[in-house]
Amino acid sequence: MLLIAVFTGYWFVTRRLQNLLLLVASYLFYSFIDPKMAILLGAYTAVNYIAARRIESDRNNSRKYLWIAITASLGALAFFKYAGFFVESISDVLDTIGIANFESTLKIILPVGISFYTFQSLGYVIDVYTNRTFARRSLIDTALFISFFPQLVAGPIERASVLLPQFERRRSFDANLTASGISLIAWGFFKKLVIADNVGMIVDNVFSTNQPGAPMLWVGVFAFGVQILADFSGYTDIARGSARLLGIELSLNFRHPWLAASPADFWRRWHITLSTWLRDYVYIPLGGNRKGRYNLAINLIVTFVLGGLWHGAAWNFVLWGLLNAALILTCRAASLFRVKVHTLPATLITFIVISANWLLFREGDLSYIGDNIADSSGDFKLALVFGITVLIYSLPIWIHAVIDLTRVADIWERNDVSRMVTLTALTLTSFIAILALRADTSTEFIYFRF
Amino acid sequence: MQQQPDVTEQTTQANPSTKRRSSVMMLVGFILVVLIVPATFGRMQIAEQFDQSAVDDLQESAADFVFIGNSLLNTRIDPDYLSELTDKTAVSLAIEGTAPGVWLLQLQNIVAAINNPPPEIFIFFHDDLITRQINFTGPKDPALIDRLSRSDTSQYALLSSKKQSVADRIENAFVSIYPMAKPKSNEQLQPISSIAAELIGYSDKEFAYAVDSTFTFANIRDQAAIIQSPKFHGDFDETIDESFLPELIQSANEIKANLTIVRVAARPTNDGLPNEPDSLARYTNDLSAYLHANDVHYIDMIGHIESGDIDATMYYDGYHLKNRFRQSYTEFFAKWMLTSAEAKGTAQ
Repeated sequence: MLLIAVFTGYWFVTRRLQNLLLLVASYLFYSFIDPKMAILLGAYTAVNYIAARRIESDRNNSRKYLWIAITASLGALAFFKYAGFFVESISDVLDTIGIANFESTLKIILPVGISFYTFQSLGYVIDVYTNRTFARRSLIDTALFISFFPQLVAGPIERASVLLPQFERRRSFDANLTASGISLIAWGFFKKLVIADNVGMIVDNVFSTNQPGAPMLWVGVFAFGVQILADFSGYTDIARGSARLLGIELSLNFRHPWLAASPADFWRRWHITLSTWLRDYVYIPLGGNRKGRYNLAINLIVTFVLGGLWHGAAWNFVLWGLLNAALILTCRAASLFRVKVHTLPATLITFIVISANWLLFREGDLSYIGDNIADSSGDFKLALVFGITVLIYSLPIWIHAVIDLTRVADIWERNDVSRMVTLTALTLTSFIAILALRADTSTEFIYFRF
Repeated sequence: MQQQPDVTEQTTQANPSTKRRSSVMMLVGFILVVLIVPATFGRMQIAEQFDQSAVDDLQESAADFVFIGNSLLNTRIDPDYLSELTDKTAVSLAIEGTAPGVWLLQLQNIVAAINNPPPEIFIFFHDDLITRQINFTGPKDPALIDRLSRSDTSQYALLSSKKQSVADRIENAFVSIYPMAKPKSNEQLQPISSIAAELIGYSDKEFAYAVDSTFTFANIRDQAAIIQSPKFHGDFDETIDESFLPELIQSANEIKANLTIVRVAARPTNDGLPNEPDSLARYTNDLSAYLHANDVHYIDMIGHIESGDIDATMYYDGYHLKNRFRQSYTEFFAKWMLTSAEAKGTAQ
């Protein structure tokens, strides 16, 4: 409703008013989720706006201002996201060694999207510090960059150099862009409501069972891989489509990750804006691959553990990050020994390994994993039915990947008429499928909790 | 020579404008096709018939006690075990995710439709659900309403005429435009699962049975303690007139059955105290007085939290009990029923 209201008035006003309208809409949107959190968003904006301006105007003390911005932003993130985890972990350690036994009662509400806008605003300040962009005078433009509502709660994590220039020119109505935006929104909703929610019911059933047995557990893990891709990429498509309706092009966040031929390739295709953020602001500043193999390994591990912790304050995310780093390092070691695998088997192996790795992401109870991972009990036939169900649900994602890979799409990109006919067919199909096949209950987007 | 640039200028100005107009026309066509075509599908759906087998089954059981409610009842009362304990026949008509609108249909069209209506009827609810004007607490199942509705009594119209929220009105309007969007029956398999089951050689019924037996409440993992925020939707006086409760009482009276309304308690707080805000406590007092005035028995399980008979460890989540406590709750309830029957006997 908010999008439709903004879209209606948006094209008839000047650039400044366009941005002001978007900013008001963004804060209304965030206040609707929780009014108190809008104050936090405002505080983030103020700190990073002032820090960026000071960094540029006072180069002698720029490092000091950079650290103020980093400390304030990461401090707030640490408080809201990790304080409970650390208190609980310390309590567990003290309890284990018999020093003290206290039950943590620390309950902090996690502001929706905080991990995303913390990284986005920090990226801006770091870019100003490293001269990759300049500090904006306009508080409205900067505030809008941090709070732009289509991507506020779950990304993509945008760079200042990509998004701010778009806010700095007037957007005028483009029918083709509007049609592609609507189509992308319909495709995103299809992925969420038909694929993710239906497959998610299987996942929830499996992981809510006391003893699903190994066959059912692995089907649940495979299903979760499908669910999380459809859920997160579905959200991203809705965000990108909504932004297109407003004349803004957001970054691509997924490039068919199931076609990855290695774990490193997977991370170049999955949640691209987070992967590149971690690469540019953590991995490379740590030294990247420039200081020998030993340092490379350490840098990769640190980056992936931080990536894991970014998702949530829990040990399973730390392990998940470590396992991803280990997979990449193993592949690098294999390439040193000139082990070469053909693309197709490599893609299949990567798909299986990455799918299996989702187990640590989905399940936080390591003893539950241990009890069930090799337990051969359970209804194998039922597991097979669920497996085939998930496979059928995942087909549209595979077909989309193959269409892009074979460049079939080029045929309908030839002229406006063929493009519009194709968009109509895709949107119509998505809409009909949503009406006919959507799940009975829809859950919140998975990445909203990060 | 001077005119040529003008011509070129006119041409270059005309082209984008024409192109823009045709793009807008195509966009309008695109939107119309996407919105109109799906509205033409699914207009020939036929409502399900009344399910007579539910009446026949209840008739055959010659039940002494009939229990009506949703999953809260299911996790608390084992009708077979209760029959054993009381030497009477107990039948549960609990359907997951249902609310008073559906319970009224069950009472009027199943319980009251048999030749030998049961002498005792129990309805289980939580918080203020008994006066809420809704049919389902979970996903809607219009096919269930159809199966419980006799066409001659137009019960569906009765349910639809109750106060509707704005969200319900929007949803109903959307479904009337796009009949394909009508919620599917909970008993109906998703087409994709059906195809997969067929490939493996399961019939729909076998598949549904396998799913039910694997994911039964007995197999569900314990989860972290949830302190439920009790649901409260307004004072008793404001909600009673538009609720189904008066009709539930009237229907029980018509078949001369003793109606007992049982309010189950939400999971207690960490301190073991009842999870009951003042507004809900006031509501409960008013409800109790209303039921008393209408000669309806009322049991408030919050008292058993206060006495320590039921504690937080017995709960799976905010309302449901862990499966292993189903039997002990049934024993507890049977004891109450026997004591209550003795008291009635003494009084008589």
